[in-house]
Amino acid sequence: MWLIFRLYSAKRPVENLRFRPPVPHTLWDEENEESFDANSYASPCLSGVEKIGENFGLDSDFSSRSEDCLYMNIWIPSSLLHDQTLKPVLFFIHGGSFIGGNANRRESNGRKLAEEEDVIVISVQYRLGIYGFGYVGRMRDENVGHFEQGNFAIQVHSINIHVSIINQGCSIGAANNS
Amino acid sequence: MFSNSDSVCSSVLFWLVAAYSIFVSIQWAKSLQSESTDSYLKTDNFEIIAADPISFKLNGASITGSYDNETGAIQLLGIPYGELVSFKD
Repeated sequence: MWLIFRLYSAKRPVENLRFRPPVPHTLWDEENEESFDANSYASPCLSGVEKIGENFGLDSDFSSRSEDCLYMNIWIPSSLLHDQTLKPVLFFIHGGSFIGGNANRRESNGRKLAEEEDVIVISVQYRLGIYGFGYVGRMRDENVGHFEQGNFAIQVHSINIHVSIINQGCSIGAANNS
Repeated sequence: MFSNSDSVCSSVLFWLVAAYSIFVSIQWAKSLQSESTDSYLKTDNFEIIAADPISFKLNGASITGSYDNETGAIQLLGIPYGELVSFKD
């Protein structure tokens, strides 16, 4: 668990960090004593082409979308309370044709899977559309959305060597797992 | 060669030693299990600090989540990547 939380730390990709790869931050560092209430979903990612997506029925509610969207949802089997052994991790990347979807939708929800299969399910959001996959020329690190998807998986694989990792996704999220 | 009392004595001793070795083995296994759980809970500064509402402590920070009503799974929603800090190139 500790490793997972450490891995996903990155600064919000807005202002000077727009179009930039996710930057590690100090949220979970030893000197940080912040308390975080993880009881509500975060904003889905803005893509810049919301109207197109809306016409294709990808999402119906764009009003809550935001650039500040690098969040994840985690479902942990309740067995962790009496059995603190390491659990397998299922890493889920949502679909949405690079311009839609989010980690809060029903197909991204891992609550049943976590409890029934005794695995930790992590559903992540990544920048979409122009913010995640736009080519801005002057940088080598365009397609930051891919970077976010891949970086999560690679780091989980490399650090949690003794834990089983399963990558899973829906639609384009499944394609990006390969 | 051996009297009846010797046989009884050796038999009693044998079973005493056997019972004692089983008892010691069980205690040793329990202590190993206990050490393993403790070390995991405290290793890397990760700790479950409360069960309801569910709270985890990671280094100095803490995260409070909830239980899913339908399945009972622990859910931590909207875990942030972080906070806005000026980018330094």
